[in-house]
Amino acid sequence: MNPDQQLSSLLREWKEVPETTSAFRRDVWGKIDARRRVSRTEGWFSLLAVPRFAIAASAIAVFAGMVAGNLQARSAGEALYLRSVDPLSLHTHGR
Amino acid sequence: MRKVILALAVILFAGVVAFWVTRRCLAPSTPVSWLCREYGLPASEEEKLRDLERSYGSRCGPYCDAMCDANARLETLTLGSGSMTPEIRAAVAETDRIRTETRIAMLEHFYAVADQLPPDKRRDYLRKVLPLVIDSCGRR
Repeated sequence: MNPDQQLSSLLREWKEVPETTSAFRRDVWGKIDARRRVSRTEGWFSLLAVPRFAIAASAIAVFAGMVAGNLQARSAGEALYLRSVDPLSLHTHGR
Repeated sequence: MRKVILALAVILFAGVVAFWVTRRCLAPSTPVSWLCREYGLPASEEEKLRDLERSYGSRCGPYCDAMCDANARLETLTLGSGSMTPEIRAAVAETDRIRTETRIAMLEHFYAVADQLPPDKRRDYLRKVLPLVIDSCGRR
């Protein structure tokens, strides 16, 4: 007897469906939801275990880092220049 | 899971290193070097701008001391008096006179620097530096 036939015969024997309380249903659905949430998060992160995705994510991180570094260097340079030509601010804040 | 955490750490590390190296390589060493890079000036212009900056520094530096002296005098007079006196009025006017002279010197310098920049970038430069001299409270 194959598993399908076993299941069919079991279902045929099954006469009574037990009553479920609302607490039981809440618990079951709670567990299902929790498992869905975990698997969704793990799904995204588990992509990083694939070398192709990990390399792509690293390239994006390097690019983002370079863009942020460039913007930061430019704004720091501008602030340096403005401080250097402002005797009024030197007077107000420097003394 | 360990593999994922390791990959995440490597990715973060790569991003931070890229940020740090880029910032370090592009950070200007002097105000003039920032000006040259920002407005795409050739190295030959850099010396001219340095000269302008030196002459501006020697003109504006004394205003700083004069302003501190005038403010110190105003503070002493204000604390030593219970009401407005002609001396306090004169001291206030003196601080304003020094401030006005400083602002004029600054504007002259900004025009001189703008003159060294490509014509299409002068306005942008002036927009950046004018708030140091003119506070229009955003009404322009």
